Amino acid sequence: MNALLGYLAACLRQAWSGKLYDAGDEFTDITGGWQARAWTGNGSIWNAVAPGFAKNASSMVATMPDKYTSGKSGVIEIRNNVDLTAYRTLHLRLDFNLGGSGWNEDGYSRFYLVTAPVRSGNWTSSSVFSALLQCENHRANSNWAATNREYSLDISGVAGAQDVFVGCAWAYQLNASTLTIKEVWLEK
Amino acid sequence: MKTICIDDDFACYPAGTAGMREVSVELYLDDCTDEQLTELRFVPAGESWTRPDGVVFHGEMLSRR
Repeated sequence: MNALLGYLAACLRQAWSGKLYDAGDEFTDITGGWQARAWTGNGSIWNAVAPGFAKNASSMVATMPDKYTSGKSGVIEIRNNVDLTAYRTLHLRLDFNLGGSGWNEDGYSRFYLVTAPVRSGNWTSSSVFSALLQCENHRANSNWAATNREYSLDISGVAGAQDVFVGCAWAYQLNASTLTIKEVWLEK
Repeated sequence: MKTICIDDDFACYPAGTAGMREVSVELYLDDCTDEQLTELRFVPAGESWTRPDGVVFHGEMLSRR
């Protein structure tokens, strides 16, 4: 029985397209599903707070809700680490509406695309992440929105089982920010 | 904030490395030793790196060499 299950799991991995999320499909057999989690990227400077998180029919929506409050960070991540050894690029496609800076332009709304072999420590530290892309760092007063924006991260030097996540960090926003995640995929 | 050097291929080296461009890096490298630094590539914000297979990556990005 165990041999059969192992064979079926191997077949599943071989058939897998490298997608981690696509329009409502979380590829749960591979990823374990997606979740929001409080995880700081910058020690006590950013308090660990889970972003708001809603799963819709064709997207996952992360919310950085707080306005005029000090720095916070959290992640939207896969539950099960995925072996990235065979892959060279990680892609993210999403819509976003970033709320702008609300306090003498000291505020910001940021999001990142990150891989990491561990799930603790400061995720913006090179001792924790294996690859990191700061997708946006919005500091202007007015909000900023975009649709179907795509970001790519080089993971050609990353090997082994890794967490994959969208890191969120926000401070003194004028308005809440939202990330509408439509697709996350790996490419060989 | 940490000051490092990068070469034309955005490979990282310790600050003060002769003939290379110095850049300041927020957050990411505060705990990084010089030995670990040389395993990384840093593409600053507003710049881009073309991987040998032709794929273009935009900064701000840190990846393994």
